[in-house]
Amino acid sequence: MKAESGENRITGRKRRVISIGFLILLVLIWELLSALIARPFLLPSPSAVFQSLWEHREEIFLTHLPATFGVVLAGGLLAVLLGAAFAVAMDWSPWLMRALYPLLTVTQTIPVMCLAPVLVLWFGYTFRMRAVVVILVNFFTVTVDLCDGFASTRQERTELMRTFGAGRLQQFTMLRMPTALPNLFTALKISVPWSVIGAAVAEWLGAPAGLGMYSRSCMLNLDAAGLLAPLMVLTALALGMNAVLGLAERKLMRWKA
Amino acid sequence: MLTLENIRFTYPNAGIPIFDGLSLQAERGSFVSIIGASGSGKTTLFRLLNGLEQPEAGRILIDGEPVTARKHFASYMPQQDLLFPWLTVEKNVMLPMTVQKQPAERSADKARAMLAQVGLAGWEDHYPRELSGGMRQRVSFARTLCAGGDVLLLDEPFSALDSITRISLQEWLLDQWRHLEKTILFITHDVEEAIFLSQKVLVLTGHPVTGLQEFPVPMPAERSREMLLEPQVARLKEDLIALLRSEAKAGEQYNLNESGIR
Ligand SMILES: Nc1ncnc2c1ncn2[C@@H]1O[C@H](COP(=O)(O)OP(=O)(O)OP(=O)(O)O)[C@@H](O)[C@H]1O
Ligand SMILES: [Mg+2]
Repeated sequence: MKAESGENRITGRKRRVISIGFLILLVLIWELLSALIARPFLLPSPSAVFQSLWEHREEIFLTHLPATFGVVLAGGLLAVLLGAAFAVAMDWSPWLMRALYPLLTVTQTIPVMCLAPVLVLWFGYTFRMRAVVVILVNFFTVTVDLCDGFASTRQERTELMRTFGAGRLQQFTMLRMPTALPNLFTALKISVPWSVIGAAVAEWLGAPAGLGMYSRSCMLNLDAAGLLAPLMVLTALALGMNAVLGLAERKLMRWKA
Repeated sequence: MLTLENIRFTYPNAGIPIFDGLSLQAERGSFVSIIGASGSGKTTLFRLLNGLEQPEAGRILIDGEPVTARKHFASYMPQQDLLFPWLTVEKNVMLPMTVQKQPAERSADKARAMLAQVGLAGWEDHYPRELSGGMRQRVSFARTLCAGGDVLLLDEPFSALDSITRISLQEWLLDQWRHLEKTILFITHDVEEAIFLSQKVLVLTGHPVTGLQEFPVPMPAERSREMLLEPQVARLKEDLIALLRSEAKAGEQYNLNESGIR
């Protein structure tokens, strides 16, 4: 068993080396291409993007990043809480499940992002409006993933709990919840990039601060490098949040390894 | 005293009942083995006893009162170990006590003691995936003993063990049974195991099972493996094997007919 996981680690490291090498290759090709085209307002070189990022570092990292991060965090957490509450209620009541589940799977296909302008009508260009976009983007995924997680509980385990005298509440907390834990993490990891996208799009529509808003103002100035710089930060934000989630997952699910 | 009276039971979507007019008695504190061909309804019998299924007709009584009045009088060890992968071995064994809200400290002590008795001292903090099939079965067994019922329903508890571990656990179980004053119902495929452990062996026969054939084991409670070689014990073993073989043949015939109907 130990040798096997060791092998996995090596292949894992190898895979990381390969993907990092590939990334470097892409950046080089991009650099070369933009030098060939030589029109920085169409295709800025990566070095120009990083330069722009460096020049505006204070503005980007002290004003806009915290603003966006706030929206992502608030919206994401509320989406998870709301989605979990719905999932628990639906798992508890078969009646609710039958009523809501088909509806939820259908609403999942609605491009919620396109509803953002409507939300502007309702809430104005406020923090609340941006948080609501993030909530709407993630809520359904979290609910459906968690419902599926609860439902994946093996019948035999439930029966065993019953023979121990466990009531529904104990069956839920001691069996169904741990069973659904991997699904929760899957949902969270999918939610992170979508939250970041949702927040950026909402800011794009208009906001006092935020990476999306900054990117848009650069576009209006035809500053292509400035437009791409915050996108790098957004990507890094999503990657960083997922790395933290990965750590938490490994900690909480040591039994899986 | 555990009594089943004229039980009839049919699984939903199955045309023919599994049991029809089944009756059974087990004295308080007795050790009864149940054998029967695969698919004859042994596990189903346990599901009825622990309340996971309800009989269509007939009564299940414990000391004269219906089981439905008693909360978890039986501790059930399922055929598959069904350990919870996210709990350590010790927490798995503690599970029934945790469900019954017993103090954590005492439950943990009891779980550790029980694990030591099934030869798993030192494995308390491991996760089930790190254990072999036989070790998992022993954890499941320890968990069942911690569930605290007066009747133990053991569904092939030793089937995944190598013969040496199996023999020592059989001896250990006999020893436990003499001290614990529990009634044990024990399902097995192994005729010798059934004889060595129990005071009487019940054989499920027929489709549906209408009754049990009962074979008292001619050995005292204090017994050793050598006694299995005594002529009357050896004869019982041959009789049981012969009966099971004829049942298996009848079962094949029955399955053929069944599939012909469908
Ligand atoms: N949930 C179920 N629904 C319908 N039929 C079932 C169900 N569970 C078991 N059966 C059927 O009932 C019969 C008896 O099953 P049971 O599990 O009691 O057999 P068993 O004697 O324990 O067999 P084995 O020795 O293989 O464990 C089988 O024919 C099986 O197909
Ligand atoms: Mg069975």
